[in-house]
Amino acid sequence: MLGVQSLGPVITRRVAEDEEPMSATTPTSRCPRTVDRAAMDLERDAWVVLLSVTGLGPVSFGALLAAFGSARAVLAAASAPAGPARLLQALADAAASPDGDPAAVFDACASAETEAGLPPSGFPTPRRRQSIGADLATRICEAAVGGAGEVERVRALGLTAITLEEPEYPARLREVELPPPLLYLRGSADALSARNAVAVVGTRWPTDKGRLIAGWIGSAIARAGAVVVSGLAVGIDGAAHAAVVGEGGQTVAVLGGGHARLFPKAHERLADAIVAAGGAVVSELPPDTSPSRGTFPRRNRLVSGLSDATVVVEAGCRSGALITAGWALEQGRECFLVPGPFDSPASAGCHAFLRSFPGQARLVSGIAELLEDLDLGGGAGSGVAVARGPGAPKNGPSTRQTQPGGRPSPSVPGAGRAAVLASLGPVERALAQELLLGPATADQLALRTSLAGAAVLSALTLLELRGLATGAYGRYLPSGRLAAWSDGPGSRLSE
Amino acid sequence: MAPGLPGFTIVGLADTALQEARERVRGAIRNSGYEYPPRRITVNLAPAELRKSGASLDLAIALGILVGSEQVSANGRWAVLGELSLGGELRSMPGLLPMVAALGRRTVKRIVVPLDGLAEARLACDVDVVAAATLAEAAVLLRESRRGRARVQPPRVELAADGLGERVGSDRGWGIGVASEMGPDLAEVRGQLEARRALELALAGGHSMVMIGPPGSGKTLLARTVPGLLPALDDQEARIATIIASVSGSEPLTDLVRARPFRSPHHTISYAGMVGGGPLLSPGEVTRANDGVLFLDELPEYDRATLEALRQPMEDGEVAISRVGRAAVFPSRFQLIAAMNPCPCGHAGEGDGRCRCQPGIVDRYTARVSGPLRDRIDIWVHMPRVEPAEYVLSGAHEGSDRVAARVVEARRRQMLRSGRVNSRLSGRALRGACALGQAEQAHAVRLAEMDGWSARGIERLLRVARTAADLEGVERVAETHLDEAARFRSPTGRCLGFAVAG
Repeated sequence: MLGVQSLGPVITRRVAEDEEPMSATTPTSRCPRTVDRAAMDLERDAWVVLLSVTGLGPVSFGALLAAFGSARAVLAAASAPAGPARLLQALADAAASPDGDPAAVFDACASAETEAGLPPSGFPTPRRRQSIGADLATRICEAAVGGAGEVERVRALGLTAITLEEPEYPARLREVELPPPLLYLRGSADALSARNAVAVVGTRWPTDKGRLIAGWIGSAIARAGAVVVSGLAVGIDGAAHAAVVGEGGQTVAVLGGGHARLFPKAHERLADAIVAAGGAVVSELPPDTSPSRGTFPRRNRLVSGLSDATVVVEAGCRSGALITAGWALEQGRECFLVPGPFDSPASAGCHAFLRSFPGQARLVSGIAELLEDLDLGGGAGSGVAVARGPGAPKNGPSTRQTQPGGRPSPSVPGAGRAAVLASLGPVERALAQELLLGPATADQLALRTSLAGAAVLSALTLLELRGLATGAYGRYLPSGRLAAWSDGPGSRLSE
Repeated sequence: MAPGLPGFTIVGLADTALQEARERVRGAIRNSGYEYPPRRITVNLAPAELRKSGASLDLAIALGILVGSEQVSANGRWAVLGELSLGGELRSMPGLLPMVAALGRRTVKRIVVPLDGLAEARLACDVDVVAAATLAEAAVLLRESRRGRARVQPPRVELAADGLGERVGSDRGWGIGVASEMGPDLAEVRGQLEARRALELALAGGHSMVMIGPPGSGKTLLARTVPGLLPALDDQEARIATIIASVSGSEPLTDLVRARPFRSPHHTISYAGMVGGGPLLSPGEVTRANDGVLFLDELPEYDRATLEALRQPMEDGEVAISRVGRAAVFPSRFQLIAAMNPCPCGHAGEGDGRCRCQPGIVDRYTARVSGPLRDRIDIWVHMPRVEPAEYVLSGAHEGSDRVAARVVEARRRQMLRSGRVNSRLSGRALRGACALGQAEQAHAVRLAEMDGWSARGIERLLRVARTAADLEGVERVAETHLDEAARFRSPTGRCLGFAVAG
């Protein structure tokens, strides 16, 4: 069953902002957890320092943690004289002891290769390496001495670090095999732990139609009160994120690099908008890590891991979105694929995946059906009514002020597409309806509506300025409330 | 000319072409029936510190020798210009017109020019130009003083007069397109509603424009319609254009240049070729496109330094070139029209997933056109691929003549109002010309805030809006004009930029 993850009471990291700063002298009666708040902060900082060391992966980190008991102890040992030798010695002792299985906590997850084939076959097998090299030990000791800089860096970038040991760590991700020890977060932590989360991913080179569908799915899921998780890439990912932001909903972007190396640069503004709309931008990599070939498949594991289900909108044969889909199945999550024309290269990967995993991978036959399959379509589980009948009023645009559960505000009548169309002048309405059939150039619009060129241009300008159409490379797509999924594909046109 | 061993020396910093005058002069003198004096000949070129170049002094050197050896006698004060062949024939050379004009200003009233340069030289007024086909003819003219050939007066321009102000705005010189090669008619371009409108705005206001579109969308074809859409040069512009053509041209001119220049240098052009320079400090493309259009196809393919060099000429309307010992200032009031692909493969934004350029590569491709240069471009327009259906079905488009008439009218309005085209307006003059009301001001601010524009961005908006109003024939800039100007803003700062990527 999807969508309901048993989550304990979520204590968001906003606590640090909402309450006055705490110190060890704060009365402990307020909350039992505040006792070791200071200690927890120190421990978290130690994780940040340790995990910023190049070459120290989750496995070695787990080994160190098991040998020393805490990251702080590791740093203390490392910054003492003859640090490297002490680290190596401690690891050797731990490995020798009978119950010393340090790698049980964190296992190799760094070896997810960018093999182009379908992912589950290439899924990494856990490797158990328990010792570290002398080079790495030296680097750890160097980091231990100058470690405050890394903590400062994270803070200066406005990032929050969440460790696997903390309750704020998203439960869904904790469940997967080999969860990342540390998450760097910009934005709200409760977006990560929302009641329902669905990943919407796809190719970086979508067709216009694919882009539209990604927007429909994104907005429909947002309106149903779930969080949309994606990878902030250009193409489908971006379209899904943007649609959610347009709805004022929460969306989580998982980066393939560090926060300070946001990639792609073209989506810097989108990332800001995601955070401003109450969503989150998250990465498992230290802020200054450059994205590279190997980091994206790793990122995909988080995208599926943070979600109850993964929807692939368009994927070519070698698309990374299929890796995400593969991870989703591997992690025991559901996986949906949007079909396309069977000869469309942009959907070939979706079709191949559906064929390879009969009974596991599922087909998206419509937005309403998808919501139903996701248990978001007005079922008791979600607690959100999403009308599916034609012309039904849709939910209001903003979930920003909603509960941590991400429940949207009640439906606002007249906010749907019909209302938008009704508010337009005749020329604009004609164009808007034409745009809803698919992206078009100004010439095509003029041809199809038989309107004068000048009238088309000025009406397009108006639509664009009102945020109802976007021009890209001379082609216009519906955007904003016009692009949001509304009445289902069958009733897109009122005329 | 001195006794001694026969010899021939040229002093006074002559370049190679001038040094070789020795051989040409000797051959010409002999072949014209005169005797080459077997004496020591020294030719001094003054002023001594200025480098002299070219073959235009051949005739003067030869006649100097003939006069010095008393084979020819001269009457009065003459200037002689021309290159000699070994056989004694005279040839014209580039830059004849400004040379004649400069001589005229120095009160040399009688000038011998090569026959093939006569028409060009006569474009200068206040000088008595006579032509000679050979060295022998020139010698005869010199001796016979004023009894030169009968002269026909071609139309002239008052070269010395500066009182051209009142002439601007009069109906003279406002005819449409006298260009000899008019290029294709606008009606031949299929589709591209937006780009047509953008081009009309750009030409009407002299705005720089960039067209972005995949290969085959008609960018170059559209650009080639430009000469047929521009008004002819007025008298003052024609005077400057003629002088520039004379200096840089390879063939002698026969009449004033009236067609607006349309230059389209290939992207392999060198830095000096673009801004001017070289050993002779020749004008570059920015100068040759003065008062006309400089069309750069495949904009990002140009050398970065070459593109950067366009900034100052675009801003100042002139380009100052300095080389050791020499400097020149050339006019460069050109209008930049450029075309580029959206990405290296050219298919970005076609919506069929064909473009596989990494987003970083697309950014880098566009970034080859630097920010400061992009800032100076008023109008950006995308040109999508034209679908076959549109190509066949779209109705008859407006022809060049009607658009040109609107452009002429809009330009006339601008000249009457501020004496310059809108693209050359800025600051207070621009705000004055726009005369925005309260509501329009608020609207402009809203538009600017949407994209977080700089002050320069707002000026760009106002300039283009002003032109839109001029095309409509109204004095006040309205909200619709501002909207239209905003439509053609730079794609880098679109308000929904994040939705556009990819």
